[in-house]
Amino acid sequence: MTLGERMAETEAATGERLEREQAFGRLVARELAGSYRTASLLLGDPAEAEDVTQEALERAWQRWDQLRDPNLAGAWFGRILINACRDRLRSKQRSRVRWIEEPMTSDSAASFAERDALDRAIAGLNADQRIALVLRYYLDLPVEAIAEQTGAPVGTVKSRLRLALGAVRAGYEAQERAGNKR
Amino acid sequence: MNDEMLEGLVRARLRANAPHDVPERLVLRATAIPQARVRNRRWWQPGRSAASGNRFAVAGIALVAVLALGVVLAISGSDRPNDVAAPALPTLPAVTGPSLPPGAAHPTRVNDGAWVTPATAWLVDDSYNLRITTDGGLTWSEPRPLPHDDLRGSPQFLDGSNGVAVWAPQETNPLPVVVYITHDGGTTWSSVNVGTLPSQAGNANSLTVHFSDLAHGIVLGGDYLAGPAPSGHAGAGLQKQACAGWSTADGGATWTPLADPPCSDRDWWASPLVGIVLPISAGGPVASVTLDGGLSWRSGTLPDVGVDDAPFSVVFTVRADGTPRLAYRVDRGTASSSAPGSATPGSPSSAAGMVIVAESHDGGATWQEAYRFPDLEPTGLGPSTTVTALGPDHWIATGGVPEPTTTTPVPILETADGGRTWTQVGTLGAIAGVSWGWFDRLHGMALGQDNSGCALPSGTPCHVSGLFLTNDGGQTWHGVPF
Repeated sequence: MTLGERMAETEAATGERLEREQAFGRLVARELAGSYRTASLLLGDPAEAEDVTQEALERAWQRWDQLRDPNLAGAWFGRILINACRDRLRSKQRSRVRWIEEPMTSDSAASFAERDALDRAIAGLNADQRIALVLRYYLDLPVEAIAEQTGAPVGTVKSRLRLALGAVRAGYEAQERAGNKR
Repeated sequence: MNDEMLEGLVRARLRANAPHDVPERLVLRATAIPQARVRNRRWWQPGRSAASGNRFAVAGIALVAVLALGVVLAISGSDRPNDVAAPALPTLPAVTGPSLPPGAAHPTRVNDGAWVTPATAWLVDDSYNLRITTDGGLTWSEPRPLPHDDLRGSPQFLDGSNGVAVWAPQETNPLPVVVYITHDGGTTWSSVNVGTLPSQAGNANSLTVHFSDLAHGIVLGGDYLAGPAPSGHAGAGLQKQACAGWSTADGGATWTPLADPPCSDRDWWASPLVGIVLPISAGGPVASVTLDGGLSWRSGTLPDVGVDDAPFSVVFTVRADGTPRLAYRVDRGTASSSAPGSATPGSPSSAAGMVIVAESHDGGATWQEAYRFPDLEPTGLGPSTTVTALGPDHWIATGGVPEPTTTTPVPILETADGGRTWTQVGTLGAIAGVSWGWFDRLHGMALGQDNSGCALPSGTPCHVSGLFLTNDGGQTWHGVPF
């Protein structure tokens, strides 16, 4: 065996493993915080979001060989995370999201009642509507990107967003009417 | 309320409800998923010299120091309740003949280097030229000059194109810190003034740079003054004078001072986010852990670091359950104690000659000894023992820089239980240099050095230098020609 063949063998034998580890490390460094926050908003429970984010990362690591373009690792992982959140939401059939602690001054313009009404309305959305809402208004993804992330047609995403906003509006206006009566 | 107002309210609620901090446990568990190997994976870490970055020079100094001390290779017992029984040291095999090519074919001396991926690696030669390979070492770039001939430590490359290095003058006050960045494999470099590090001329100072990805990086710097040793420890110490750190989130274009950075350039990284910094020397047995790529740190006291009060020969990994684990040699000198900070100079340590494996269950705030095992040096690995962590519990150990009169090849040891038990899986052969790292038990690499004082087992002087690869567990080595 020539030196070149030996070295090629060395490279082949060690080949993708280290690259995969390092690429995964970069994915974690880049995506972990945002993924956890997104999962928290979708699930409404930080502890559950932690578990789902971990599960999604483990799933990504197990399927790393299926990633064809490392430059698209972020979007690819985003789909894994969204699917994991959707599975968790559907399996639990949540009726209400438990939001995490209330920040002190982040949106002081709205009253507590208004904020509560919005939170309850968002929490009442079904899984697909909530995913569309969070991707659109927290991650600021365009509709086309949401369709890519969720695997739904663009028209379906638009429909989900319309329904989600309608539900939120209804909840908010109901609270306003109740407030005016008082 | 119109649609725009409603969308604005929804945005505000979502952003207000999103948690700010990521749980530490999630960061650590995520780091452990690929059983991440450590980036700086030398057990005996001769590199990161603040003066020159020449790992061989530092290793040579260490070797001389150890020999001069006339170290007694004794393995002491211990009365600590959490000790485990000391495993028997592996038996060495018969001498295996060398297969190194003659050194004349490899005139280039390698000063430092690292593999970024199995296909991509960089080397710095003695003329401070950079060479990069992107095909696993088959071909190398033409020499490219580094941006400065007195860089602090070595460059760090994230891939074959993007690299970073840091420099500051040795004796000015204050020290201007400059980061150099390349996006074309070192062909061109741009410089960024990061800030200034207060310094007293003539002091030791440290400086290191680490990028966790193309956007996020940190610079840590410290300045020291010679002073008395910490309480209960022998010899001289270094007193921290001033420390500073900076972070960037835009690829190094702008830098922001860190509030309370650790003060050392001895850093190890288990992942881009999870790292540990240890004292430069006699700085106290304190380890600082970051879980966010260096933006914030948590410090805790290590158990029993030995006479120098600074852990050395380190392996840093994260267990599968997210527990940070640090293994370090305890000096076989004459002053230490099993209780940190309460040693009696001149008395032997209960852990002298041992490797302490400490774990933290609170992200680095406190450390407990998990177990210990005998130092590997007496097995024949020598003072330049190198341990490569292939996983949290799976390590490979070997050595290098044989004594001039040695005729025994250096063993290669493997453990699958975090060092509790070791098995000899091969020999290093007659490489006259520092073993450099392993991908697995078969595939490794070494840097040879033309020290003209070493000898092959046959007695032939080994004027060899350059980079060598093995794919048979170190039985045979093949020089990389350039």
